[in-house]
Amino acid sequence: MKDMRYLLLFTLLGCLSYGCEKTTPYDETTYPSEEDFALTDTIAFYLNDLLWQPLGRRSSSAVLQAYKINRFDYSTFSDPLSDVHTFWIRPFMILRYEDRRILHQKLEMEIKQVPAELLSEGTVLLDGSDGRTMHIYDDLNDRVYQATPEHSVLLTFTSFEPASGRVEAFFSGSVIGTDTASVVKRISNGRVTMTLE
Amino acid sequence: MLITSLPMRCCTLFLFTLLFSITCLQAQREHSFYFSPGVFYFLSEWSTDADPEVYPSNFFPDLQDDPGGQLVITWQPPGRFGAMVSVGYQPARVSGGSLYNRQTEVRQVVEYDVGTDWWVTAGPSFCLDVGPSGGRLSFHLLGGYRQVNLENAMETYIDLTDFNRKTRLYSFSDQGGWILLAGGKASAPFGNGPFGFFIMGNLVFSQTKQDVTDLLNADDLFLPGLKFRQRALMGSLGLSVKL
Repeated sequence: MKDMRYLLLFTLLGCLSYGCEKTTPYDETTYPSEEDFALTDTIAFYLNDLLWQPLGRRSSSAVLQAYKINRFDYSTFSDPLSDVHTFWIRPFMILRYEDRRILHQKLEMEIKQVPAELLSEGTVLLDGSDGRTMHIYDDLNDRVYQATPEHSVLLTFTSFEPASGRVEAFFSGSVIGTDTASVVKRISNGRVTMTLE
Repeated sequence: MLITSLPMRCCTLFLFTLLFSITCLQAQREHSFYFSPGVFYFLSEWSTDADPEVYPSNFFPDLQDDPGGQLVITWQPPGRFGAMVSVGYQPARVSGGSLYNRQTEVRQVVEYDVGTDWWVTAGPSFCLDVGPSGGRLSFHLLGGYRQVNLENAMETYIDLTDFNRKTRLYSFSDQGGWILLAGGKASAPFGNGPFGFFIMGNLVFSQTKQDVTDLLNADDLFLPGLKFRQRALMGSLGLSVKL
């Protein structure tokens, strides 16, 4: 019927128009879920009010930097003789806007010689002493923040599964700028899960 | 024309519709009148226009329209040319997509209350074809007044220089605007009765001016006379009654 052809034509045009709608951008404000921490190696914390989590890679191009969350570099070493464990955690966080970096930071945590009994339930103080360090390198602002005896970060191991090697820890505290300004930044709601090699 | 209060707006719309209806009913019997209430949706893109020397950051609020209601009244005298009046109402809000300065800030949340967006248009129509059962295909070009009343929007963002959470409270003061609708309307009756069904498509061009103020940071008038321009595809559907 001729009239119905008009209706079908307009309906088709409407459907085609709707299909052209844009997608929403990535939201960088969502803290990782329990499932993220349980199933994958994940790290996240708040630096003052900024949700800090691994985003992007140091050498990636703007196209390839697809904001893969929490694929971060870390390494572990276990000494079976003395039953101690060592962690080096080195994630990046890179945010871009129109191919321009607006945030480029690297976190480095060094936690050496942790006895196995502490992994299930125990604390380690990152205060800048040998093997207990935390640094945040802010490349864009050319600043470094570090843990010191006055501004330290307390790391609390909460669970360890020897069979799978899964380790979970929470951390919070503060770090201080190494330059003359000595600005202090809060570290809060920190949480990390890793797998021992 | 600047009509700011809600009662005044409702009265204006009501009187406008009433006067047009009376005019239609008093016309000769061979003239046809179609009252078509329906719903519509804008697939739209808002853009802003401002002097870069006044607003160097080049980051402005985004607007977003929600689905709304529409009444189309068509007067079809003998011949192909007729007249059409269309009034519409829809909720409008600040989506906050580029509200913040994305070079130095990371947005956390934009909270807003939904405002109102209404428009009144009129213009000529041209009936391209009438089907054997009374279905019609017509084209039209309508122009008129538009007013977008936005409620306050609270933006919480992270400043990437000190990583602290900060807040802005945007207030919008509408200065009125214009709207153009160019498109077509297809309708088909249910059987032989006066009732039918219609689908309408429009290209929409519109502009509205807003004074934007940051109430919390006391920068006086933050963005005075900011122009919001809209280009949109508009789809409508609803019922149609022939008098």
